[in-house]
Amino acid sequence: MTVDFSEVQGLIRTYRRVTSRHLIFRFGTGAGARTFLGELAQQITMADEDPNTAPDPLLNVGVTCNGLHALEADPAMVGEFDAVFKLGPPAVKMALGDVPGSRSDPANWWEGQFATDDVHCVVHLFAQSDGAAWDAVQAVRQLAGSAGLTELIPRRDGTILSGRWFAVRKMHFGYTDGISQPNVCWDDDAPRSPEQIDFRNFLLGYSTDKYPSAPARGAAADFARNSTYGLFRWIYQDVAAFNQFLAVQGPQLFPDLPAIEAEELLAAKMMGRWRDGTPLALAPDRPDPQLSGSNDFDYATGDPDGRRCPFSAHIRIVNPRDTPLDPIVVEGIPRLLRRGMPYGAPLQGVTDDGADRGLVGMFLCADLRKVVYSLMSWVMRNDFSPVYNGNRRVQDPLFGNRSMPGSRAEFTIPGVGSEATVKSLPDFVHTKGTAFLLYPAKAALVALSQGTR
Amino acid sequence: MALSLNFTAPLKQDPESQKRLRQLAAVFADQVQPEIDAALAKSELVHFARILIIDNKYIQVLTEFDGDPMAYTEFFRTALPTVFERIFSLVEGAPPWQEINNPNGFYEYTHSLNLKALGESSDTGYDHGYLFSAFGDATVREIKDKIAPTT
Repeated sequence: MTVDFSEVQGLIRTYRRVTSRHLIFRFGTGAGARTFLGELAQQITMADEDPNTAPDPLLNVGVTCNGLHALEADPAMVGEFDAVFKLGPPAVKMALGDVPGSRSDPANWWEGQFATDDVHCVVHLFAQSDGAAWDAVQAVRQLAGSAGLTELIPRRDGTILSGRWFAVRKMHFGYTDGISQPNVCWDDDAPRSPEQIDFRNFLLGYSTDKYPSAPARGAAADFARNSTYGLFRWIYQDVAAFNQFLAVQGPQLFPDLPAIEAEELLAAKMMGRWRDGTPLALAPDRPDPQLSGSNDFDYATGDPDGRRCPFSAHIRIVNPRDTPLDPIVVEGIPRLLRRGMPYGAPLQGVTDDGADRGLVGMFLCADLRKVVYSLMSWVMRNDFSPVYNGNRRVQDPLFGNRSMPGSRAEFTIPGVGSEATVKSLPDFVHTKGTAFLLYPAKAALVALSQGTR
Repeated sequence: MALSLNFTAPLKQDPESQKRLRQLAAVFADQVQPEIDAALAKSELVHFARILIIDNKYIQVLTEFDGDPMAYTEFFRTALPTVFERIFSLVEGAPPWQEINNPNGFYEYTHSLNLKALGESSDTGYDHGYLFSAFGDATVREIKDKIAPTT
């Protein structure tokens, strides 16, 4: 079968707009919520549109489980959705690494402006200019206001979440983004290359034993078909702390290199790619522009001892490729479509300016339970493969929460004949908000807005 | 430190179900226990595990795990499907096995019957209640490594 892209929200494709806005709402009455969704549905960018030529704004909407209830969707049908989607982020905070008492504690999310349970839907707007984005924001606000929705403002200063590329595909911390997006096969009948990933990893309503998703069958699965789940994460990045860490630790770890090269090598070791994107597994000594977009590498044969790419490097955790997994990891490696965008102005140097900056993260998948309990947990504690035997308490050096019980804030860098370990890794990120979203397919949007499901 | 799974479910009280419960108890040591033993050993996460029947009214599956006990439900579903199917067939109100014999359904059902212990667990971040451990936060793997005979 072939996926009908006219049914799927366009977010599954990569957008090339320079800026984004994310409006968070709580529904009022069920009737108002359905009116809003029905009106908005006509403006939603679907995947059969070319995102490169479609006019501003590109618009998508995600609905939380509480939002489905507020829309007065059939409770029995909602009951068949992904268990973690229904529980909501605060209930699985430990698996997410959002440890109580730490800066990522859900009690601190949304800058204390509202509770995560109040989030019913998030409207994402993507545009080529701030002017177009602003016009779109006003239009959605007008529609929401007339339908009795309450906008939830996530910052104490009254501003909303807005992403902006400040350089081509560059994230804060200086890394290039968007290199290793999954190559998805959307057509069962098309010839498939070995590296392609089945669309059932990302779309609901096609559950099989090999690619399970919830709802799994029946009317609920029919309703959900061509929808996808989203993990919406507001992630603060402490660029000054990161730069300071590189400046101090880089020369200590690699004393034979000039300071700037030592910093770059440490940054590469933490990510698993040089900041231009070149994978360490292919080019361990220096970035290579010819390889900056390369995904054609593995670890088990090419770098079994982690001397090129450390076992705890970010990309080696979230996509361990052919790394052997523990017997208990029966579900394999979850794959995500990443659709985030940096927010906040870039920062150079080691002095923090107090500004908010980081990532508006959007991660799409068909199985939130699997993603939360594997990928997110693996980031917080590298305890999923025999390669970590000896110290299974280490974390992702970039994205781990150092307050995670049972973890060690250490980063081991295997070298030739020796290994170096960085002790007392600081926190470089913390979570400022999370929502689990359903991006309904076109038919599901119609059913929800008409109250027929 | 380890966390506890306190799966507790009411048992069906009809004569046929009670008969099957007695049959399970009778063959448990010889037929069920070895299968559980092998799966738990393979997991390298479970410190202790046991199954209890209380007055033929409740069944408990009690374990102490490393990590989040809900993270690994899929391993146990795939490793011990016949054991869980047999247990759940005795549980009052349990969905038919074919409905929960999938990753999401199994997770959700076992999660719903995982009871919180009395008290508080102050050092894990989890809201699972009090659990004493004489081994601090040492994991099964770490303990096994420590006690392994040196050659």
